[in-house]
Amino acid sequence: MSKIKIYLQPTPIRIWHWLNAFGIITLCITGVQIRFPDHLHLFASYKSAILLHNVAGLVVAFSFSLWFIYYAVVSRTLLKTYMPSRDDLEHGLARQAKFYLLTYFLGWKNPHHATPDNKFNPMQKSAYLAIMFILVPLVSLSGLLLTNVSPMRDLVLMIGGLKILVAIHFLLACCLCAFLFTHVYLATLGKTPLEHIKPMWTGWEEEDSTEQPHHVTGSSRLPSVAAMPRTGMTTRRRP
Amino acid sequence: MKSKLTILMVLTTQLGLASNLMAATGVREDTSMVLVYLFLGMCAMIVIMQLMPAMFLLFGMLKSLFFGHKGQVKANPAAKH
Ligand code: HEM
Repeated sequence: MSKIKIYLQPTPIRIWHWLNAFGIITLCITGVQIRFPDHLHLFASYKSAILLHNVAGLVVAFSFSLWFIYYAVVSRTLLKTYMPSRDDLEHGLARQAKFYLLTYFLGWKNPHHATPDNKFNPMQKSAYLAIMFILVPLVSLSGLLLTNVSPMRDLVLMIGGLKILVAIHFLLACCLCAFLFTHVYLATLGKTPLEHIKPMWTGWEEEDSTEQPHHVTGSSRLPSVAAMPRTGMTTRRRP
Repeated sequence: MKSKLTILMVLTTQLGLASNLMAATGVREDTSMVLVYLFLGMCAMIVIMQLMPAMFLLFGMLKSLFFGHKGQVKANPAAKH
């Protein structure tokens, strides 16, 4: 059986994703030491944990802008990619939840078929929307305020003072950490544990040429941007 | 793959031990920048590894642009045999 390769994840998105993942994992580890210095001694000193936390925060903020610029300015598909449709909310969410909670374990196929025009299933869209449009910007903003209090003292006071700001930053970071565990677990639910992780690293998803899309919505009915049969040299392009 | 993993594990363990040692001997401050450089080095590695396929493509295109003709001429007589 021949394989088809589909270019699913463009280079800027892959760079953003892995910088972001590495940065957020570093932020979680250093953050725990900063929050509980008496209980955890992962790094030699409190100062080194803070320094690394600040640098990792800057890297995450920088990579976030790469993500935003790519989707909003270069490909102009930010909302199309991340905004769940009405059908997604009415039926898709339940269908996908049923797959993750039950039918995956019975060996059924994923009801969503990823294409470059419709990369995410309804649950991914909703989760990524909340993470990328609310959680990451808020954690970054609260972190930025904590790194440099004096220039924006009025804003800090408006929020309720440093203690409240620290609590908000910590709670948001806990949500992000919870997302990370769920995200990594769900990312391993392919035919093999690396089936979804490999395309996120290489950009290319491989699938059997006989495989038909199971659930195709909206513009994803169009052929994929670059689907290349592995055995031949023909390239399907968007009309 | 396995040997790479072993090297990585040994390096990580060494780093962990080294940072504890430094903490015990009071040379704490010195490790701060080392960790930052390690972190930034890893970030640079991610960027370079992700850009490599695009680089190869670019080099391939440039190569075929400048030397592509010669390659084809050479390949044709061989195909006759
Ligand atoms: C080791 C950690 C991580 C792994 C293994 C991982 C894995 C993946 C994989 C396999 C995908 C492809 C699509 C999917 O299956 O959902 C993906 C996409 C995504 N991940 Fe992660 N991820 C990690 C960390 C993170 C973190 C920390 C965040 C955000 C805070 C994040 C946010 C996203 C987003 C927003 C997408 C969609 C990207 C796009 O626009 O194409 N991931 N991740």
